[in-house]
Amino acid sequence: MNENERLLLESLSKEFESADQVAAKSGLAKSALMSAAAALEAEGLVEVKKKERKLVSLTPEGRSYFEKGTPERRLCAAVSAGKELEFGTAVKKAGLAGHEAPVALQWAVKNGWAVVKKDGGKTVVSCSSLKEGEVEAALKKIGAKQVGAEAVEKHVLEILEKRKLVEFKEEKEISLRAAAKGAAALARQENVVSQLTPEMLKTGAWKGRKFKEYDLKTVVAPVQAGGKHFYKEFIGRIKEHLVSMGFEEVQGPLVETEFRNMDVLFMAQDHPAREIHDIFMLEEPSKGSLPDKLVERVKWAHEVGGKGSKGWRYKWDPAVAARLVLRSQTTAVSGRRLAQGVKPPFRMFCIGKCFRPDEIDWKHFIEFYQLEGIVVDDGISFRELLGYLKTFATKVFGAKEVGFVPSYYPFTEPSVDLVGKIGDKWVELGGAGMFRPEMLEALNVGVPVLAWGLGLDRFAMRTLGVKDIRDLSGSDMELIRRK
Amino acid sequence: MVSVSFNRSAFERLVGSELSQAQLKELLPRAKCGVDDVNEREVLCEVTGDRPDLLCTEGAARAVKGILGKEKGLPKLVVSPAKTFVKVHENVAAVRPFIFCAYIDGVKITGDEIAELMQVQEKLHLTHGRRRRKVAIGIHDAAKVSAPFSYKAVKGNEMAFIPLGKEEEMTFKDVLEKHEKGRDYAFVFEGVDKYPAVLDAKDRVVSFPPIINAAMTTVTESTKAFFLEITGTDFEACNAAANIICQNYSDKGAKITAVEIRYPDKKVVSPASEPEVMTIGVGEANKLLGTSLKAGEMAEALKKQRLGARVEGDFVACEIPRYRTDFLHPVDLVEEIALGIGYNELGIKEPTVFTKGSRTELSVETDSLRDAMAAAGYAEAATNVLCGEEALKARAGKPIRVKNPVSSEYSFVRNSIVPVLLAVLSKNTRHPYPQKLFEVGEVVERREGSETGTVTKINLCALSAHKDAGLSEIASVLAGVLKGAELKKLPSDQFIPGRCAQVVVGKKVVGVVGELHPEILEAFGIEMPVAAFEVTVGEI
Repeated sequence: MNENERLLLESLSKEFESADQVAAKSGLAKSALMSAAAALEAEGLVEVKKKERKLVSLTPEGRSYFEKGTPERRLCAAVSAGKELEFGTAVKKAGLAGHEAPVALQWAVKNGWAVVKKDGGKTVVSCSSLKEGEVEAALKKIGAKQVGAEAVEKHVLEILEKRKLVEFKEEKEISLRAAAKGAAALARQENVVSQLTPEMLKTGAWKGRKFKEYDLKTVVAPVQAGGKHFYKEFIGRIKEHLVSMGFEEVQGPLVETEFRNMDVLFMAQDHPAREIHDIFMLEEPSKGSLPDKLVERVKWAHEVGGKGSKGWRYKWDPAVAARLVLRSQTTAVSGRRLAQGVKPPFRMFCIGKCFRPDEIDWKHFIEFYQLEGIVVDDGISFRELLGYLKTFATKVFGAKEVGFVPSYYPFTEPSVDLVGKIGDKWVELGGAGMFRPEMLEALNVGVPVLAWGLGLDRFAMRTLGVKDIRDLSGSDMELIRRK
Repeated sequence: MVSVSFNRSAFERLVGSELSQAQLKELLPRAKCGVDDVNEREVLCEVTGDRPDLLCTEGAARAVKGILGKEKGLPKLVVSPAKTFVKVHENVAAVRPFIFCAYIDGVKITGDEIAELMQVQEKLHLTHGRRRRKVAIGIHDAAKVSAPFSYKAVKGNEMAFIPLGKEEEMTFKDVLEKHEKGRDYAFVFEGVDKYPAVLDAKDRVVSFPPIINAAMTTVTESTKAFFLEITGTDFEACNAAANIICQNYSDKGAKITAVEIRYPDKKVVSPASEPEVMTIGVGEANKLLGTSLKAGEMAEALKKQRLGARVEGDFVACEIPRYRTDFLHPVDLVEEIALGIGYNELGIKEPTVFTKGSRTELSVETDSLRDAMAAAGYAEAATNVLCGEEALKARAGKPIRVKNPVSSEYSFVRNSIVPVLLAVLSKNTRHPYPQKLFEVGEVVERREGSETGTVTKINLCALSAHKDAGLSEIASVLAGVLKGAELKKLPSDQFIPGRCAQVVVGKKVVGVVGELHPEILEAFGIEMPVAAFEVTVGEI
């Protein structure tokens, strides 16, 4: 029994009462009352009676008869009892309208109130007793209200209808009363608690009380659970791997000068990857500043080469180096870290977003995650780099077989691409190499550096079963809530 | 990487044996030609950016012959002494200073080969030539031009000629304004009022480099000799291009004859084909590779890479053909040794360095915030840093615009996450509410005086959208995840007045919290109240 049902049951007596009455007594809205009544009726606690009922009310004409008196009454009143008067004079005296006169005379005679005589060419009306007629009684009974049609005698109602003094309306009448079991159910309800409260616990008032039962059939909305994004979780697992392998995490800014993104990495200023088709540039601000000492060393590396190198042999332009770009490779982060000075042995990784213009489709997007790693130590070699790559391919990427493909990067020599057999397909996993001596000399690093940049998105797609690369950063709520 | 297609039968003819699909897929990548696809007719490859010589069938075949051991060491290139010259005027120095020429006799060329030659030329122009600015190649029918030649700069309306593909004479200015190639490459001459011209003995225009050749020199199937003309802004790059073309035709049996280039101050023999000499120490190479190779083994590997190599005690002296431009430092020879042996044959060495791993403080904090937000019932989003007009629509200040966006949807670098998550909500209005989202990610703001003129921050942003969403709800989440956060009054048009606040930790303003202004919700098409906060967690 819910609150509304309890209220309703409390308001009912053993006699039938109309729904309107009950609504007024209980304070329930009619609709709430009806649904509560239906529920209680189903449990046999309430009896509900439904009856079709004809309601009668007065038409505007009937209303005017009720207020001013019927035309026959007014005619006879003008003549007055026991006397007689010429018809025309009487009509005038009674103030009857033209169409009312014959009606008045007809009914005065029918009621036995008047007698009509012909006196030569004149019609003379004489009146007798003026006791109340049944039409008048009915008009009075109805008045300004709507009453049940049963309140008026059937033949009178027919007269009223014929004289167009009344109109009818159908209505369903609902009445209710408490069933025999109702009172007992109510009594039980008094002691039922719907919610345990701190007060009850404090005072012990819960003791001996019954708790309201839940309707287990009620449909409840599932909670929208919180959770972490599947791709970020994937990246988190890779970070754990790298930390467990002894790598230190480093982070870096998304906006870089070309100097940090390219020049430090010994990429010549006319390298195709520096063209507007291959890197995002910024509108405002569009220029950054260059770190004094490092600039001189980098310029030297590009123009002259330094120890044992011919360099790129062109006039290095600081204005080009100062342009701001969105980071296109996390190698920029390695360059920043090396520029701060490192004490070998040193191993770091960076997982970060990079940006490159591209046609956007299911396997290409303009933002992507790169996993950067470097190892700095005396005596490390290219074969050891291949060892690292094999470890990554097998331990992190789950490759069954590993292959090394010759490649080219402006900042590494030797350069190599890592491919791995994942499932039954050979997949490109990323690029690697040993940083070039020109770059290391400019950064003042005196020992070899192994470096790699592995793309995470394609691998994540395969591992997580994502068909479209854009879904990794998608906006669909179902995708976001995917576990 | 540059995509090229080799004619399979021509390639196999040059290598001197038939090669199966599997063999091609194994051999070509070892020569830095990654194989995309092989079919009956052609081999589709991706060539690395350091090897313009591999953009041609001849070059790739030459490299593969080395790997197979069919032909090793420096490729043979005989260049006969010059019989004629090009006079270079000093006025060309400011426009396009260098020119290289050569005669290539005894070519037999079919229609297919003409098409292939044009493909090679275009690939070289695009990559090695940096869209023709640095290097441009002109190949002419030698029978249709008269030696000696001159190379000079002329005014736009000084001379006229019929360019390739046209039937009427055009001035240089006309070519730049009306010819399709002229319009494509006009950028090369920005801010210049004189243009380079190669003229023959009769003062006829042979070519207007790097735009177009004259129609009269067009190569056809009846052409028996080429006059090669290469111009550009980089002496060595131009010579390398000349050597690539000459070596290709020499490999096919053609005879190369030099041309003397007479600069105002010096004479140069073109092409300059004497190999460059570079030496590598055996110890240095072994140390970098992690190997214990003998000098002889190294020399053998280098020869397979088509370099000349001679053991000299603890050193290997190498001869590098001029069609290669990728040798700056002896370390480049070290890679050639590794390539000659084969990366997969080198064998791996287990890592020997041991260090302690760690996370950055910020990344550890970021993760604990993510845990807290997820536990609070918020779903994590991972949206993009590049965004469209959302920031403006959400009144989130002025994000930095990308100069060259690929589409308007990705034309700004986000400076706040609230707008991006509002965009997520706007795309999910059909899904049931409540919708509670969060993201921890990068935003970029301007910062004058910093090296990058900007600062990259890590922000935490949360949005709650449902019928009762409000400040007190979201503020209690904030209070739960960000200890010590206090709220201070904030005038803002992003939120409902009086129903928003600054978030302050210590004395530092770290973010905002509030109920999104209905005008903003309307702009995003969201018919549900949204409360949000965004706070900065750190800077990177």
